[in-house]
Amino acid sequence: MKSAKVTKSLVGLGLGLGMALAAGTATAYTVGNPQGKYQDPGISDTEIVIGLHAPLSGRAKAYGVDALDAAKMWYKMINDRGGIWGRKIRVVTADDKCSPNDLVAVVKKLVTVDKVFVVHGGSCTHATIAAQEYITREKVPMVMLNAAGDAGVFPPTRYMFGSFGGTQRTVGGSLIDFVTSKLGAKKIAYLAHDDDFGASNYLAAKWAADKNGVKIVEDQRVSRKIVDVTAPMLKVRASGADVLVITTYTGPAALAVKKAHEFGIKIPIVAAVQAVPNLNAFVKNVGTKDAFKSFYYGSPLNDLTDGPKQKWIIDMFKKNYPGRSPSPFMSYGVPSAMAIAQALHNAGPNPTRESFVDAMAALKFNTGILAGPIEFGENKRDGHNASIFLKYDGTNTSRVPGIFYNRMPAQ
Amino acid sequence: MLAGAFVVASAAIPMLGSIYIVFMANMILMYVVLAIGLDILLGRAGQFAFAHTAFFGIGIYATSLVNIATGLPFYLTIPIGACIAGLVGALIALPATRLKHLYLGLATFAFAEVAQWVFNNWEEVTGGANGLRFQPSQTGFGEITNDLEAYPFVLAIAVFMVWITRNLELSKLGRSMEAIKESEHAATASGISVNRTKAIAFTISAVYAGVAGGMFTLFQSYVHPDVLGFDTLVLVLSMIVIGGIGTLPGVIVGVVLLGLLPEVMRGLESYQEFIYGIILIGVLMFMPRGIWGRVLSLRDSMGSRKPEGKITASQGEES
Repeated sequence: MKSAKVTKSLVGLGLGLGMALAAGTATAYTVGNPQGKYQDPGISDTEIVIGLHAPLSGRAKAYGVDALDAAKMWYKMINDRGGIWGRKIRVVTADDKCSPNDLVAVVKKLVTVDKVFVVHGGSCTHATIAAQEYITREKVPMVMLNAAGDAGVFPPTRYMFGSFGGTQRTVGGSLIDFVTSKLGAKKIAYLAHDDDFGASNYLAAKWAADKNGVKIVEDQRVSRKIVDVTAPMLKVRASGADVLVITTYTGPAALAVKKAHEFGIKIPIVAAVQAVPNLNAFVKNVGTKDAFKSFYYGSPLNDLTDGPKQKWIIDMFKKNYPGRSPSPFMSYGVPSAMAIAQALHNAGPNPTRESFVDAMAALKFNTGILAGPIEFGENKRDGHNASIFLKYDGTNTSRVPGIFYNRMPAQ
Repeated sequence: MLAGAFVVASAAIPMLGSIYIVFMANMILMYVVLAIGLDILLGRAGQFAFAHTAFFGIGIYATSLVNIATGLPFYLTIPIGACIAGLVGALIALPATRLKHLYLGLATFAFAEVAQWVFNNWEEVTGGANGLRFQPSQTGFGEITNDLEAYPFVLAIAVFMVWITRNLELSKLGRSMEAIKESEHAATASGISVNRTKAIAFTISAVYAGVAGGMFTLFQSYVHPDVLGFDTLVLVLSMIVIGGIGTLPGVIVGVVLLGLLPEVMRGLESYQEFIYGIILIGVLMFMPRGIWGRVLSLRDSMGSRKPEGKITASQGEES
């Protein structure tokens, strides 16, 4: 009896809901965006609105806070100099938590509620690409803040630009460029993660090795959660390689360097940027400076994070945010802001989202922060392809002369 | 009265004209089904199981892969995805019904970890750590390409699942689950097949998670295994505990509250984690039967009528 009553109520509710929904949805479709002087939202005679997002809370907060503040700092500087074509940049910020669901919510809010002209954000590729279909469908340009994974830019899509810090292909390709040209390596042992990250850097590394006529004699893949690297390091020792390349995150990389020292592996060790985000912490994790007799690590920046070529941006950050010491991720937030400002200028006094995208695609400029130039193309959405390498001998760090590139064509 | 308010609110959402609001409504409706499914197992059958996000993931991948492979309309792909999740749930139920309490929790958590490993590493099928991009769901007359188009269907599925749940709790099976939660010995003495009922509860719970996974594919275009991890499980658990475990209105209240709270507090950046924690602790301290339990207690104390909550004295402070 009670069940029948509930069923009857719910049928009534369903019918009411159906009719109301039909009316609601129809109304929503007929209410369009009012067309003003400008074709696209987020632009007026006096301002351009940029939606800026990054992880500002949660576990990945360290990647986002300083990078986002660095981008804001750059826009402030542009405004202080008079803006772009007389318009000031207004920034709307949001916390995407490096979570795909949160990031999609943030991007949809920035586009439909805050009505931004361009979305600028994302520090984690896996979260950023969750919004790719939406921004492509809505034809909203999105420029990644400091997310640099390959999935965001390969295959290239019209409205998404990124990888200012270099993709994993850049990591793998430039590592091989370095070990062959500077260390004369012929036989390479390669330690990478057993995921998309490892697969992407290995793809370019293998391409570069084949191109240079050198062999990757040992290819070891490990989990990000690995706590003991004895087995892969024994294989590295047995391989007879003359250099060990490590592209893992910092935890497994520190284990590998420590184990190489324990096993008496004397060959040079060359680590990717993700292995050594903070040298002091890395050395502490390895536990002994003796393990660094022949150790190199890469960086997409043009100098040490506190080197003379980075000083100007660090000083600018400290001036804008007194009392704060920038993290190693700060510098990565500026190049994407530079690119947006440059493209807005190049798009002319009355930019549309489409003309902005065309201006982004035509960009080629030096940042004074990164190792190589930022360069996009008609069918190229990864901005940066270069690395420098630094030698650490247990006491001192010095830059190895030269810039090293991933030369693998985009596929 | 409440139903009328629901009709007005549901119809008003598309008229607000913001895809963001419609997206949030879709997310909350999906979480309603996901949380109700977990509540059936945890709140009604009293089984301490933590594999729900694995079944949610199976529902997402199965529904989207069937859509990619066949192009069938969503009203076929979602049931197929839910059946696959339910089938896996039934298989897990066989050994799980022999375990209790912490051991059951650990065993199901281990299954969830294995499932996430599979989502991360079975690249040919799931896309691995690169995630899986969906194709738009089909209606039979066209494609669902945005949140607004998905909303009526997501809402209809959520209402349908709530209706099913309401009928389930009034059914013999629902009462058997309640009996098992109170005392397995007493239930057995009453002629209830405990293991069979537990297995059915596991399966039904997995089907709900599978349906929620299918709903996800209606309005999202991409899934990454990170979405199917421990964080999501904790969120859904929090929703049912804060709202009122074992009560359908309570679960819905919990979902709406914890679905909206992070959005409301997003601008507070890292302070939101602190405030979120304080709110959770506060609710658990002062409303151990959840918000809905407190509502029922207040109504009871005002003398309108006796409490209807399904919570037992052992789960709350009020007997």
